[in-house]
Amino acid sequence: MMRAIVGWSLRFRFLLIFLAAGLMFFGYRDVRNMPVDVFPEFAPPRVEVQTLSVGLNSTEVESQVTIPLEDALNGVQDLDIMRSKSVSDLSSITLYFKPGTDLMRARQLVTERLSVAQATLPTWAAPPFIMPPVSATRRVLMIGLSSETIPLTDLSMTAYWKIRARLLRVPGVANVAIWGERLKMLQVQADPERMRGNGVSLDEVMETTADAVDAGLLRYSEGAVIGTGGYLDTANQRLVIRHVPPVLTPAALAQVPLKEHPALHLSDVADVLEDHQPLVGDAVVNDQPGLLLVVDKFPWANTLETTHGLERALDELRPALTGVQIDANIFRPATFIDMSIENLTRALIIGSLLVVVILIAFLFEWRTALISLVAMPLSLMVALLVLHQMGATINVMVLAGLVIAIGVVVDDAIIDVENIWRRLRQQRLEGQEKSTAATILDASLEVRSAIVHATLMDLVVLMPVFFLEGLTGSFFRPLALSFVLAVLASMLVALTVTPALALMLLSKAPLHGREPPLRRLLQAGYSSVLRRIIRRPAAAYVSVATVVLVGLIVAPQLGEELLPTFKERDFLTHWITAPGTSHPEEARITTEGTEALRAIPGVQTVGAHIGQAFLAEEVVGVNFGENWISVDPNADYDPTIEAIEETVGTYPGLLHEVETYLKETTEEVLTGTSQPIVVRINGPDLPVLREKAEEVEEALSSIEGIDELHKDLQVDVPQVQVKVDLDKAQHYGVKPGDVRRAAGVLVSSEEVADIYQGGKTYEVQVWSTPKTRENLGSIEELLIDTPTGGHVRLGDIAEIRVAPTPNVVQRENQSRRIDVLAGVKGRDLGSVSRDVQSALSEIEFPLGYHAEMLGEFNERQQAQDRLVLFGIGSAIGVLLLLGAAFGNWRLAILSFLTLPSALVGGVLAAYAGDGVISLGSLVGFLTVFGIAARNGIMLISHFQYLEDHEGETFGVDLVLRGARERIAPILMTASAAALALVPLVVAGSIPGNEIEHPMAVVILGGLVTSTILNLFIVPSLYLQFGRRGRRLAQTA
Amino acid sequence: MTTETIQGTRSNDPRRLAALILGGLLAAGALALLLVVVVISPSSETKATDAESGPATVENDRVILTEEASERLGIETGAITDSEVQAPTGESSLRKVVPYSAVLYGVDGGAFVYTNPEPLTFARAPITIESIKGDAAVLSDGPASGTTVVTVGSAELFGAEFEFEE
Repeated sequence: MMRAIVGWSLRFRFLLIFLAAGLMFFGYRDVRNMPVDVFPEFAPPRVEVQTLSVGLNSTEVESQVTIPLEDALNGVQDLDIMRSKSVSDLSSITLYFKPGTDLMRARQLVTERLSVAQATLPTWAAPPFIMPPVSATRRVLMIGLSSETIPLTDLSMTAYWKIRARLLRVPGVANVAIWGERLKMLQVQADPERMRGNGVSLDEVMETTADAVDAGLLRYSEGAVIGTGGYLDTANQRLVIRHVPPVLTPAALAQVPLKEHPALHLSDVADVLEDHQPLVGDAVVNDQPGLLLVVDKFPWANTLETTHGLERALDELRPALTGVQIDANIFRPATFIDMSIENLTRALIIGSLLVVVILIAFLFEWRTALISLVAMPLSLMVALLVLHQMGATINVMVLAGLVIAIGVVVDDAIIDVENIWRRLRQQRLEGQEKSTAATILDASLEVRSAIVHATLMDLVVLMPVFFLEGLTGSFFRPLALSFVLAVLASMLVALTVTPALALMLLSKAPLHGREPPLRRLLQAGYSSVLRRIIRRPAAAYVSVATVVLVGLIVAPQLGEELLPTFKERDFLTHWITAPGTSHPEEARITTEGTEALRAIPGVQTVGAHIGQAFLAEEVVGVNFGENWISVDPNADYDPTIEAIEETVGTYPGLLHEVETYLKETTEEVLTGTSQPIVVRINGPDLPVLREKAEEVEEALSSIEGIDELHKDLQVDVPQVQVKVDLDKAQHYGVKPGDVRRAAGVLVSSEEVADIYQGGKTYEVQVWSTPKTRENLGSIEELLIDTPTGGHVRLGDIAEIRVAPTPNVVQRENQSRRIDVLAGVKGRDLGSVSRDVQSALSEIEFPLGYHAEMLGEFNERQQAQDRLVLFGIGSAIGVLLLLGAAFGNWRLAILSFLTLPSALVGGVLAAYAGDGVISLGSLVGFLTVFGIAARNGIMLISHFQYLEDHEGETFGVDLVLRGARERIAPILMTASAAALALVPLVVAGSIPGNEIEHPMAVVILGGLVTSTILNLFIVPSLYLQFGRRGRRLAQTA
Repeated sequence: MTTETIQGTRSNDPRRLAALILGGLLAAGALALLLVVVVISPSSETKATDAESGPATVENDRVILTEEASERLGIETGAITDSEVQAPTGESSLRKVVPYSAVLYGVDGGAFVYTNPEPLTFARAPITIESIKGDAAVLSDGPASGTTVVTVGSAELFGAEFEFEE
């Protein structure tokens, strides 16, 4: 069949070349517009449910909101893990579904369950809502807004109603959360002293305010019913009457007479002014309070495209936002992607130029170099186009797969051309009668038949990747897919375009000139060395054994790491004070932090957010802050990072860890937290959990390499508890419910009305004057209305004290849990994890409690076990293919056994370089294996070809001749592959190269040993073991 | 067949020379690769971090800050004073008073402040608050008058003492 394909290509060569050219041209445009992202979508499908529960503390939220919801959601189809967090005023439940679950269907099922569960929740728990679906790396842009002239309240209203609304329209945007929002509203701040002095009750103030405005919210007040305007019917027309709401200023509202004391006005018992709501979160931009807009993207959205859309939208809004500083550089992952692509492209271009040099040096013939140069990008282009048709994005994994395939692609492009050239030369020099076309046909097939087996071996080795599960599966599958596509495309091109081009370009070429000097030199030198080695093969075998031994010794010394640290330019550092810390203090220390960080040379901008925001995913208290640091792309990377870490480390009493966003989200998806090492302890009782966590922390603190060890911040915080004394209250005629409602309004405010104006909604709230609620004493002095019209101090009818309450309650799969977390520094993850596991096994846990280790290591361990199993299957497949290629089982087994020694060079190179085996190194090993296998097969099948088709008898001469004829293409492939990768090695681990750099290091090292193996060991082996009992092929 | 004769007629010297060149090229290539890999390509940090003497140390129930840490936190201090306080009954007397911004509440309600016995050294001291007047807390029990107390930054000292850092 291959003969038919090649023959057809030769016959219709002009048509074929025309098609190929068209493909390149149009394909280039398509590929340029392909969506690009850093990672493939690796998170399992997940649904997050949030329920606002104002007025409840963490344990109340847990028992009254979270647990009923968990019970209702338990057992949803395809549910994998359910995690929840309960803090004051907020419950958050995240459901992780099994990979492959349809996200929309999962959301549908959750909604159905929620509508039933809602009835079981307390009425003051706002209805649970499902957060929009977001990508694993959800944040796509962070925008800081600040202004010297416009007050923050006005800015907040514009940000919510105008800016957010516009940004939501950008394709790909799932949600925009605004930190630091200070809603502009009218506040009637009641003064209990003045109320008492005038004999006015709080209820009266509230009802007066609600009735004063067109749209009151108090259900039993008159203002709750918005009157209709009615209409006039004349004989001819119907005129509808509309009441235009007047502009209600604080001054106007202050003049409203009180309901039961018409002689008095609101201003007599309260301060009426414009202010904002009590804050549960804040933002620091440009070292002052500002707004931070955080944009999340859908799972199917594309970072670059969405970022550009957002920036265009901001440009549209800018003219209307004079006086507002808009900083869209605080966090911009698209920058990293742009840089990565730029670096990779540069490396590839330089690499291609170097390949050209090699080709010309070896072949001394520009036409053949041209053919190879056309074949290589064409194969890659075809692979990318197929991926495009499948709807894939270009990400680091796809690129890694293409890079592994480069070994195959380069090899394919070179060996075909080299053999065609050699045979054509031979034909011209020896004056054979075969036509050029026939020569090319035979030369191609000579090479192709053997190479098919090698290609199949590459594919078999990669097969296990398709069977990986979980996070590693979602990561590696795109890699395997792009590799397979590139290899198949390369084979197709070698069968069609290469022969066609060869016929077109080489049929008239003068090929009978002098043999290229480099080639002659190499062949001569190689022959003499090989001759000596073949005579004494024992030395060769001993050296192979030594090399393998060295490899086996060195390999376990290497550390292991699944994912490299991506050289992103955007960092975040948590800025967490002790739970229970106030908002003013957290804002102060955060501002100190951002000031210090901005002073570091190389830091472009810093924005911070504190606590919660509406519709945001941070379920935390106001003690929790995050500083987002953007580093200038032109700044020196390592010194800047060091300076940042140093600065951050000078702050005592704060939890601060410097991370990149990609690292944080991958770890968060893996474990639900953001650290590589997580020990999760499950059990019912919080104090016992905390005790065990202490024990575990103690045990881990002595392990070398553990960094930033800490427990989950699950602590007790002081809380003011108000407990009504029923007897005393009854004495005054006050009901417990009255106390709660009154205290609630005075301390935390209540919304009583809305004003609609200019397309926005403004709240009207009743609160108390700041003096009324400024300290613990004021709470005791709160005046509660009695039914008889008098007042009583809260302190007289209730017990007020400070008592402990947990700041957060975390649950997993319906059990309370606490984590002990640690980072890793100075040692590799694998060894540290193993030490942690052994330390854990020494700790005893009471009945009902257990601990497990999660994190990157766990995931990788599981992946490794699976891989080993499938690896064995692949190895068997490789052996079978070798047997089919050689037709000689002894030879097949021996080849199989010597192939690993080709990898030793890679092991040594990895050891000398980074000292770790990572994703990139594994990719490198695969590439080296592929190249070694191809060269070995080519060599041996050439020996067999010489014996079968050119009448050479088996012996030293056969081997010497065969080896001499193959050294040029072997060295060409090796040096082309090596030089193509040298730019990647020299550039180092810069953005875009984090995976490619260790891979290139391993490939370079592996090429050295595999080439030596192929040049000196394989011929010796063949001489010893390759004699075939029966002639399996025909003689020439 | 013909190969051996062809090779047999060549003299030894160019072959040996070529062999040397080939060997030298290979060796040079390997060495160059090694150099490139080890020297030029940046490798990741493998040295372990030395035990950090952090910005704060806790010993004997005291928190000791470095000069830099104190500046970073923006620590400010005030003092416990004797002031005229007006009782609800109207009469005024001399009472111990501490700025309210120095007060921290423990989980069981016991209030405390951070005193500053030595430069950059801070220690918790329990207080009992009788009442709060504006931004001053009237104490019924606490450290002696004149004691320096931390008015800005006590939340972080608390965090350092109970090891919320790192």
